[in-house]
Amino acid sequence: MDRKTFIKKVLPHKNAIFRFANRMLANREEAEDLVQEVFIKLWVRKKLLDKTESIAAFAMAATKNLCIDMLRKQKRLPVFSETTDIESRQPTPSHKFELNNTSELIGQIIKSLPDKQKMVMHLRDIEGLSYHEIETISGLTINAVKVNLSRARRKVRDILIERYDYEHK
Amino acid sequence: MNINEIEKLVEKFYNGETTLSEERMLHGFFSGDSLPAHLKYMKRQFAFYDNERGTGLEIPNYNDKVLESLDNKNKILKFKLHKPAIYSAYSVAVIIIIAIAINIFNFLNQRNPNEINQSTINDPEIAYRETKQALILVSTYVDEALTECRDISKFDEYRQMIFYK
Repeated sequence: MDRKTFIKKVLPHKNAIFRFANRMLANREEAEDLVQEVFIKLWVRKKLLDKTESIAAFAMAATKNLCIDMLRKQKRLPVFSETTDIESRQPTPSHKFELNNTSELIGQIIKSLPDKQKMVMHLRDIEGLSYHEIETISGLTINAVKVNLSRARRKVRDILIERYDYEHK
Repeated sequence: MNINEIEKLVEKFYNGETTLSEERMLHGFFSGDSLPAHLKYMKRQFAFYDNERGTGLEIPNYNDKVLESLDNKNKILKFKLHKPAIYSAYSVAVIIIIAIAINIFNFLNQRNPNEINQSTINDPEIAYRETKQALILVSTYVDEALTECRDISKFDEYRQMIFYK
């Protein structure tokens, strides 16, 4: 891949890479720095980019790996590891959120989700990636992707219903 | 789409089984205003996703900066967006060294204040000698502290060479 193609096909993913890094690191400055690392990594591996099926998935996988490295270096909770049980951490109940803004509330709910659920939900509902692309990025099977996605969406729904007292069938 | 079809899609959505095109249909439906009361929460959920998709990097000329760093064919130069944590560590280290030096000085020169007053207040010669001795001691510790600072500075210099050059 030459410079021109890199500009045309890879750089436009910068905001998606940033959003994903910011979701996983929960730190804007670290996420901004990490985007640069991702581009350096992608440029170094530009030959592989030519062969890849989805540049978005390739870039997001690189982002996920760099996020893991950064979190492990900082000795923050290891994420996406095989030993991470999606049910091991209980999400914060809605009554703990003293937030007026719905966006902030949903952001806080997603932040409190187990890492796999958070990652899968972000990649699907915000970035609009296919199950196959999410499978490639996360290393989960498609079935596990769907299970995690379902749990994450239901958690957001349940807290919204509870919080705003929605009528629900 | 009638409400039954929407309800079925909503069920599929929360089971994680919808396709991207079905999700787009739901998104279109919940962007509208006339929604069934029992599904109104979904409008908030989709509005959040829309809002998130609109966010991104807020760094001016970001593409140019990235390309500039990649253009160097021999070595990739990483541009600095944020102050590395090492500088904070550096400042903390200097403060700690100075604080230790002052504490050691105080410890070595602990005396009863009355005794000090009694022994020097009427004798400028003794006061002068004591002050001189104290200043020499302070200068020794400051020297040691500066050596430590130089070491840290050298470490930072090498770190810069390794990671940014």
